[in-house]
Amino acid sequence: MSTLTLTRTVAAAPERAWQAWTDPAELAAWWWPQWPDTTYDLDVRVGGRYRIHSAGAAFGISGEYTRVDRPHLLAMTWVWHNAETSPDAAPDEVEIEFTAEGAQTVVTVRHTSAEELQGSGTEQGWNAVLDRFARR
Amino acid sequence: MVKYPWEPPPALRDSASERLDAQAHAIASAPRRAVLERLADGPASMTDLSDLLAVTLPAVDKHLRVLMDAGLVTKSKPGRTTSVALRPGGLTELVEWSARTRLLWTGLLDRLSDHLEADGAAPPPTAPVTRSPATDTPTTDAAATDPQEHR
Repeated sequence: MSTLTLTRTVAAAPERAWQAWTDPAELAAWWWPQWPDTTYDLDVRVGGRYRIHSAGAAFGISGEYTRVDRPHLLAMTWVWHNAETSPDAAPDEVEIEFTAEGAQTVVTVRHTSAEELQGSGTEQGWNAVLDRFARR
Repeated sequence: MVKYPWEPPPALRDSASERLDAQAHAIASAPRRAVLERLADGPASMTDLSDLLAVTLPAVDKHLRVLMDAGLVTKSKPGRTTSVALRPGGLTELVEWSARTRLLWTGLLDRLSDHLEADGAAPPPTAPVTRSPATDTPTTDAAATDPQEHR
């Protein structure tokens, strides 16, 4: 498994940033505005499901919320659905953390791939290399 | 100009599992990871790499053999100098996953940031369900253009 971590500081308090992630009407404003036909169905509670899907682009994401700790942490499983995705594909895991910093919020995304890497002990190496490569 | 392309023999690695093992071995080494990171910025000479790692040229060559064996780098000699480069597509699907995923999130976070900044300065493009402090009345009209108090 590999985890990708990214952070961004946004000009809003955590509660506000949380709302932008969990209110379907607001999510629609910034998630995939390039696909205006995208639908956003969010049942934001532990065990609740979400589905973000664009018929026009013929793909989307769905999953289940595993942690809902407003406004600090939102965690969910994550499965792409498109023509290429196997229905048995193991879900990725995504964690969004909101940390106050003055009047702003540091948003940290941790996206963990479901893919297994053979050969133990090399995960740290993979993560270091993959992060650097992917940045290019 | 004589070219000496020293392609690794990926045909010998017809098993995905063996390829993965060779790649895992290749990067389970800090100096070799440093070489890969440097090559991600473009090809390098042997001297570049020996300077980078602060080791002798033969020591660089040892590392390069492991990397070439894993199909991760190539050596060529376009002129008088040997050039070492990343082999495109040498790393596995995991790298592609990582690149795709990073691009996805970078885009999303850019838009989240713009969205929240715009909210402070101007009405948001779609109004969330909220209560107006002045009247304490819920407003849910997506087409509303009344300024929302920044929360």
